[in-house]
Amino acid sequence: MNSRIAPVSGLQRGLWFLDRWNPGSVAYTVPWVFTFDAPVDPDVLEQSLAQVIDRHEALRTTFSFGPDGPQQTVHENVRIPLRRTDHTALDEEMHAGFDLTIGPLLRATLVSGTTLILIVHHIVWDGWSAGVFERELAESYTAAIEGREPVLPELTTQYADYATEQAAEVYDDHLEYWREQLSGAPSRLAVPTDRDRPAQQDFTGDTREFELPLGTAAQVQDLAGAQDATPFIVQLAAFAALMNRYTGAEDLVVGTPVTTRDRPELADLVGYFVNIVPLRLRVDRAATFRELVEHVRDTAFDAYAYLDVPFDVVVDTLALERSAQHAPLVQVVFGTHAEDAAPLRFGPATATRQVHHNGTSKFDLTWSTFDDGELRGEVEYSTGLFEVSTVDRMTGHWRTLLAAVLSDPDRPLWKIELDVESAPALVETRPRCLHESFENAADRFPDRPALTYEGQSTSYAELDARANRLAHALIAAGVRHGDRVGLLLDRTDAIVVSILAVLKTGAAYVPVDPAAPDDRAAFVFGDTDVRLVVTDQGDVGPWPLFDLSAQRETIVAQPSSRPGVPVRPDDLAYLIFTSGSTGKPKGVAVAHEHVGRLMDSGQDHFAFAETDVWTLFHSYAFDWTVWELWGALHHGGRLVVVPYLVSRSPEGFADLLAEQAVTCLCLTPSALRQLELTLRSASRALPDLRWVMLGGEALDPAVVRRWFDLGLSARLCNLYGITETTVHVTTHDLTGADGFERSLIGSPMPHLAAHVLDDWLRPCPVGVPGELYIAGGALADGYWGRPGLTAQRFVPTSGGRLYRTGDVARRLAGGGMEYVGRCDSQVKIRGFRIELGEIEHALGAHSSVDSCVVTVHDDRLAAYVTGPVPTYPELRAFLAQSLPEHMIPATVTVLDKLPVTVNGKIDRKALPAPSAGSVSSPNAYVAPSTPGERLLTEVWADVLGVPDIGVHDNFFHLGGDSIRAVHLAGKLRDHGWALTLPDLFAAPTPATLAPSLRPCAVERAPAVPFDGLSEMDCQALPDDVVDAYPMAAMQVGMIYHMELSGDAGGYHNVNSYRVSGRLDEHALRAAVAGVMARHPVLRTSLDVFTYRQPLQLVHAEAPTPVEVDDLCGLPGAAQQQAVRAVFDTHCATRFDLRTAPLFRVTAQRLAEDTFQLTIAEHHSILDGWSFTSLLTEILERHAELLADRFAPLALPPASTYRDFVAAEQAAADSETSQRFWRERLTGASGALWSDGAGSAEATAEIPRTVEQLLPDAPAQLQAIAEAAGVPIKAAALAAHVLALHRITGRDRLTTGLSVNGRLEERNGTEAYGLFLNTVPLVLDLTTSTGLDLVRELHEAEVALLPHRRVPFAQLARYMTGTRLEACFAFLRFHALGRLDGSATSIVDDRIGCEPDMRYEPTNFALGVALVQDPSSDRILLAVDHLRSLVPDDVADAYVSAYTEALAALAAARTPLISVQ
Amino acid sequence: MDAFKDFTVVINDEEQYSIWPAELDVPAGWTPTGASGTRDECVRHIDEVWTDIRPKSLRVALGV
Repeated sequence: MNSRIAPVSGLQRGLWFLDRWNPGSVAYTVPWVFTFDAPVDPDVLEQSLAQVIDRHEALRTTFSFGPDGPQQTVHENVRIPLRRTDHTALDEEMHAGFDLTIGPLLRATLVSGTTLILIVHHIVWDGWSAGVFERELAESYTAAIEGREPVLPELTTQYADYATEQAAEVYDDHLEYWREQLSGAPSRLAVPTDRDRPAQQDFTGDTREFELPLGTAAQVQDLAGAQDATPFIVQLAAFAALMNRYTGAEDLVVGTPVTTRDRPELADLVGYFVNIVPLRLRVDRAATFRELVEHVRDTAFDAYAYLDVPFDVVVDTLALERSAQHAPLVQVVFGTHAEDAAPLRFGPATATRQVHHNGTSKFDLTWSTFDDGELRGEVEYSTGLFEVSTVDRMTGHWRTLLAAVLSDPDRPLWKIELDVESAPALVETRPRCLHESFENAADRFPDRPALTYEGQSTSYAELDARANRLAHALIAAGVRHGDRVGLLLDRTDAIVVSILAVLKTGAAYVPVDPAAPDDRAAFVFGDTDVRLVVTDQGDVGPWPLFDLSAQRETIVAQPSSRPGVPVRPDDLAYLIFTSGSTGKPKGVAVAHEHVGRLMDSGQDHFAFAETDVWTLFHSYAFDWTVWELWGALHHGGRLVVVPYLVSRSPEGFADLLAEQAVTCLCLTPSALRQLELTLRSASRALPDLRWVMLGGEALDPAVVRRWFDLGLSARLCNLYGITETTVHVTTHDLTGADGFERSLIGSPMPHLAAHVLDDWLRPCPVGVPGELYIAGGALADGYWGRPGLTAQRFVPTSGGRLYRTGDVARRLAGGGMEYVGRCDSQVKIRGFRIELGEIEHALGAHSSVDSCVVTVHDDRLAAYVTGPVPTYPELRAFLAQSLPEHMIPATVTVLDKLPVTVNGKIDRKALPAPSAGSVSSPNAYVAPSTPGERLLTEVWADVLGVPDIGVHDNFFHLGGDSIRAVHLAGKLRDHGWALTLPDLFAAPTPATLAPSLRPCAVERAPAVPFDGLSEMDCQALPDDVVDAYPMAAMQVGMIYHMELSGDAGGYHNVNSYRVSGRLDEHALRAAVAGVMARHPVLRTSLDVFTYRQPLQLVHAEAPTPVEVDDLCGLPGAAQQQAVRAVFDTHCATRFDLRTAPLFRVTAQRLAEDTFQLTIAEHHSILDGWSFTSLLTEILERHAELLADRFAPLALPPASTYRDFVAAEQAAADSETSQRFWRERLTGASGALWSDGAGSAEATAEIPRTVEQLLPDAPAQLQAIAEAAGVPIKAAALAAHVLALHRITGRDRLTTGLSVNGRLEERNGTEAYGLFLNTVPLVLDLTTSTGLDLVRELHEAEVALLPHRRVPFAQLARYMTGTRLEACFAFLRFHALGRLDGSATSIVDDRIGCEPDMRYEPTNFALGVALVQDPSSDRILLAVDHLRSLVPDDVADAYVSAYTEALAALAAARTPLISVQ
Repeated sequence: MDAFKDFTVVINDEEQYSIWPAELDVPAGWTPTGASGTRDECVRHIDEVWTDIRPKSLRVALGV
């Protein structure tokens, strides 16, 4: 065949690489459907198709990896058959990919004469090509119908010319432009996703269409005109504005498709002329849309001067960051397209066309609009990342944005509202004072224990009385309503008494922890101007003291009655100081009613009760204690004061929880982690614990997962809160670790509302991070004595105030919110805006990291971790799977534990400098130490031309690019190792990649249709033949045998099965059609005479040979009769080998849930393995289609029968194999019963069949195999040899052994065909007995394995006489095992997988098969014998002898040969 | 809020002060005091004029 080889164009190179990345992917196939209003003539259409294909080389091109990189081969005389079918084939077609090495890369199917489905690979095609192609196809067809010559433009060039020219092009100046343009560009446009990005981009996707209002196109046109721009520029600007809203990025890269057909002669060509231009856009939200349009226009128009350099070359040359997770540089593409929907004339018929979507997405998002006078839009999106509802929201926002900017382009972008937010209704309550609610509980539960401290409990009545006495004493000491009273107390019950007492006086308490630094108390008490300080610390400071021990007498002398001060709910209850990350601590002034509203909401959520037991676990200077105190004391519950030392001892605390039967526990996530570790080592069931309330820090999913692994019954609630909004804001309940992959904080409690706003105070769209603002009835009054700060943080909103939290959150589509981090933990390093929480999240996902924190040190990211952490390079590689390069910490410091503040939060300020701990430089050279690493470093050095590769060197940093990556994979394959490209991209250093290396079979050259045929034979092939290749020796042998024997058994097999399951005719037909599409042998015919050698011809399609009868309702006997009749008919109706298909299927419905399936096949296309696989595949596919009519068809197996034929040919030619057999077979005779003197060379005789179940055989075979240390089949073969020996009385004998010649390669077991060979085993039983014989047989079989594909016909030449009269096969067809327990399964009460009726003629005098059911392991011995040579009694004796031999071998050790 | 440069000082019925971007309409329940300027200028002004951060109704009840 003539062919022309050219380099691929740079544009194609990108697509070729993507195909290597994901071989056979349908992401880059284009399904295109023509619908005709009247039937078209299929023959004329096929001929027209041929004309177009003849004109355009691109459609006759295949791709391979040549010595100089990827290349394309243009073939002459390529046939693209028009497949004709009557059932809708679109779905099947759409889900089948292309093999770029084989082609053709266009498939055409005509359905019912009125629908033409074209599937084409993008590497030879673009949107413009579609126009060229359809015009030419329509003109060719119309001309043929009208009997004239078609009028088609003259083609002066072809794609390969363009590619050659382009490949020679030097793009230095272009690349310089892009280098400058993209310098420092973000590698990722992070549109917020609904799901975490998969470790490897998977290209699954969907397409969503959206409408735009009528008149939009005209408005766009008007604005474009006014700005000297194009409608594309205007729309892209609006899209960039949307992306800015969604990502917050002010510097973003959007890809846009451009055509490179820059010369008139390219306009009429089919081919791939699309480049992706990465436009780097800056969006300033303060600017107007008009200004943005101007910027986008200038950027795009500049870039258009440099659009010839292929995107792929830009990425490679600029060594831009690569990731396995997303496309490099461009993840979001925007394009506008003109649409010409005018119908096309095909003779008398007209066609409408539509491009379909095939469930893939090339990028994260591809945003397209189509203009046919009005605009409509389409978004192709990755379903691995986005929910359809998110895409709908985005398109809705774009619509809103577009309408806004078009109607007023001079408004600043920030003013555009994407959402109309409705104010949430707040629950307004007017609660009582805190001590009054306590008094209320004391009145209801006077005798219940209120407080436990060091084993002593205090009742409600007693606690109230103690607080009253102290209150009276404080009043006596000068405390007045509206005062502040300092508390400086150890963690004892005095805290609770003192707080109650202060509140009863109408004053606010100001707590300071004695553990805090000394100057803290001075600052706090001075700042709040406290009336006095209640303390148990002795004489400690300059302020007026109320020393509890010194005043004991005074206090006891006070009345126990309530002081009755008229305290108002808006009186201040406490001033708690918070540090914040900068500046002085500030006192947050919180009133009784603020806490009261919180507790009312809490009661609704947690149902606090008098039976609850709480701990006072935290420092009372931390407002969590407010929740702990009143959660217990407002409801009659018991509060256990946890002494400071116990709170610092995880074991002691765990003991306390168990002993005190605590029900409600409040912890920071850091403390939960401590507790979990303790519980893990010393298990306690904690059956009373019902709530663990978490707050104070972001909750790490890993902590949650580990907690639930403990299996305790307590529920977790993640509470997000801030002192300024009174302890808690949101709740998120967790009953298990599932669904908590991110830090979810849930929804606001009913007395509060949460808003996520951008820097312009506009609500962020769902999913988009922004600053969290809180409104509602629990906002503190402000910061005591800090009016300016209060004014900045508590900002106006309609009718109230909003508290600015400084936290970043995002609203989730399903409701609730996710905590993202602190505003001030958003850092900027090297110009990148980085969220430290995101890095911590990624780091925490490593199984060895117990806890972690990331900070910035000297302008570099510094990570601190605890746990059995691996080396820095490993951790770095782990992070590289999910984070871009600029987010990977420069150092990782391992600490025993992370420092925490007195409130239990991580103390970032206390972290050591990152030089401590195990830090290692990422750049040091580390020599390879394992064989895998050594191999990788050597191959890298070779591919990259760089010596001394270290195991931590990054492939892409050393000059590796996408093509070199393919080279690398190829070199490794030559060394016998398989490497996928995604593996390399995910782990681009030898150290990280070495573990993913897998051995592979050395790859053969890919099969090419018609390869190896003479030109003359090719010319003579019928038109519908898509491949032709020589027949296997076994096939030739069968056919000659048939010719000689006047058919005889004819290698004609019929099997009939009883199947349980529902039968659907349509599904069965579709199932068989699908199976035929996948397996060429099912579309194959055989021709021995027409060509220079016997050939098998693979047809594009063949009739689906299915018949279905309904026998439901017939009496059983009549059904049996009908089934038998069909079986007999199939036996009697022989195949014409020159007509495909060489198999037939009849299904007869017997009852609603049972049917009979009878399959006839010619043995020349299927061996037993293939046949049972076929049976299984039909039944499975049938079941699959019943469940889902559109279930996609699996790709055809990569391994084919054609490959086997080539391997067989190679074996026949192998001198080693010939020598092997010659040595063993010379002089041997395969005759056992005839005289071997070439009597009837072919016996025209139907054999008799004896079948017997061997119930003991599975156990016996197992025992023999174990005793001899061999596989079961060697044991089965030994029994056969012994049985033959018994019935023939011969010590020296030759038996055939049926062997399987399938190729050891990927999918090697999935291919169908006749892979069988029969090889002679020459045995001498005088020398070996018992288990020795078993072992020898096994060794003999192993020895012959490499030579097993030499055809028997050739082997027979070494023997004396060509007869081989006995043959043994051990059959265990794994495919059948898949049916067990499935919706349709074979009904066979013997071994579970055998047919009811079987017709499998043999040509051996004695053919033996031991069949084992793969599910049940049960065994059937099936013996076919030719009665003319082996009489019935001899065959029966064989069966007995086989059974006895098995038993004897299993009993072993006794002498086995006892000739009678 | 950080996107804005110019602010006005606003006050509500409880005589709580705050700052608000000059470019935006003042929310219901709030009144400009007349003071305006940069964020820092407004904050300094509030530090001078707002001496007790407790709401007016509480201050009245306490007689302060």
